[in-house]
Parts: sequence; structure tokens; C-alpha cells
Amino acid sequence: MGYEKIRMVLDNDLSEIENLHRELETFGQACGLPRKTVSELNLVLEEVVANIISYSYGDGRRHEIVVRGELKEGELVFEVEDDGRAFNPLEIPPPDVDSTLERRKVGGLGLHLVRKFTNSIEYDRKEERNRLVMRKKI
Amino acid sequence: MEINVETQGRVKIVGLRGRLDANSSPAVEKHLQSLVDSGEERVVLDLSQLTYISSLGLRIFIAVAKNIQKVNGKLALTGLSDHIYEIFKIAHFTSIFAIYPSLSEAVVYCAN
Repeated sequence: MGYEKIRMVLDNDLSEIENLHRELETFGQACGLPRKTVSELNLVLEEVVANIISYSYGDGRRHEIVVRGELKEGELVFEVEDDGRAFNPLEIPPPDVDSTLERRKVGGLGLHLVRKFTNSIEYDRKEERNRLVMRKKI
Repeated sequence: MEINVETQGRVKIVGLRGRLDANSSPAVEKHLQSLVDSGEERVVLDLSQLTYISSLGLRIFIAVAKNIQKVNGKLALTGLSDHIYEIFKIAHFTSIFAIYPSLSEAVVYCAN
């Protein structure tokens, strides 16, 4: 029986995304998750972690981002914790995905995809740390 | 991520193989941008070997499409897997990109 819990500590460097994907693939295989679910999980976690790495710091120093996840009673629960500046993704309005190419913004799709591929998202900030909990039914 | 470029008449076919994620996106964006900057206005992106895409990959397509539109060029996409097509639908990309089921149809669209 494979492990059904995962914990990763990632540096605030985009090269860590490759490690994140590798660990999630192993976790997905151990849990016997369908290929589609593993791809969606990769996408959700990448969007959240890449956002933190790209926008939460700015002091040029090394920081740790902690990712914890588990499969419990048919539900994937993933938590991402960081010590960056306060950022509540739930306050970000959805992007305008219906505009023409000329008016279409280049970015802003990441959180839209996270919302679409999860069933619920909770945010809180305690002791100078952001904590995001995402749930996805399988 | 591997990038393969082929020429078919006036059309450049760019094949992306592997994962287009936060880590690989900057290099791919630079490559595609330099292609457009060098005067290539008719581009087919062959995604049949693309196994994964995140929002940073999606933004590259928007950026390239905008640049090609500015020079009145043509951009077509082909080879989307079911999973990648679903992401395109969620992002409402299916209404702003010319997406073809086969490479030859994509090339014909860009050539004419």
C-alpha cells in the first residue's frame, strides 16, 4: 500500500516546480488516482505555488513554502503555507474570459483554473503566514 | 521541454514536446517571440506532444497571438489532447484561437 499523505518543503525558486510535479506524480500513483485527476492536481498546486514564488516575496532571500496533502474518504485535501506578504486569492475577481483577443489580458488565468479544478478553497492568515486549503473530490 | 521548428512553404510549424509549466515557459516564450520578431507571420503550434500546460503556458499563447495579429499574420493550433482542450475551454481560448484537428488543416489555414 502506498502512502496517502504527502509533505513537501519547497524553496521560493521556480525550478522547484519540477520537484513539485515529480512528488505529485508519485503521490498520485501511490493513491491510484486517475491520470486526469493527477494532471488537475499538478495544475492547481503549480498555480498556487508559482504565484507565491513570483509575487509573495521581493526581499531576495530564501523562503520555504510548505505543501501538505492527503487523500481522505474520497477527497484530496491540499494545504499550502508560506511566509510571504498577505495574499488572499479569494479576493481576486474572476478574469474576463469572454473578451476578444485585442482586449484579452495576457495573465490572470491561474486562479481561474484553480477555482475550476477544486471544490472548495479556504484562506487564513496567522502569525504572518498565509495558509490556503483546497479540497477536491475524486 | 523540446521545441522543434519545421518550415512548410510560408508556414512555420512549431512543435512543443513535454511540459509547458512555470519552469519551462520563459524559454518557450522567448523562442516564439524571436520567431515572430524575425518576421515569421504564419505559425502553426503543434501541441500533439504537449503533455501538460499551466496558466503560464496559456499566457504565452495569448502573447504570441497578439503579436501575430499586430502584423496581420495567422496562428493556428493543432494536436490538443482532451485534457489540454478542456483547459482551453475553461480559459475560453476555444473562441479566440483557430484550433484544427489535424496538422494539415492547420497548415492550409495559415498558408491561405
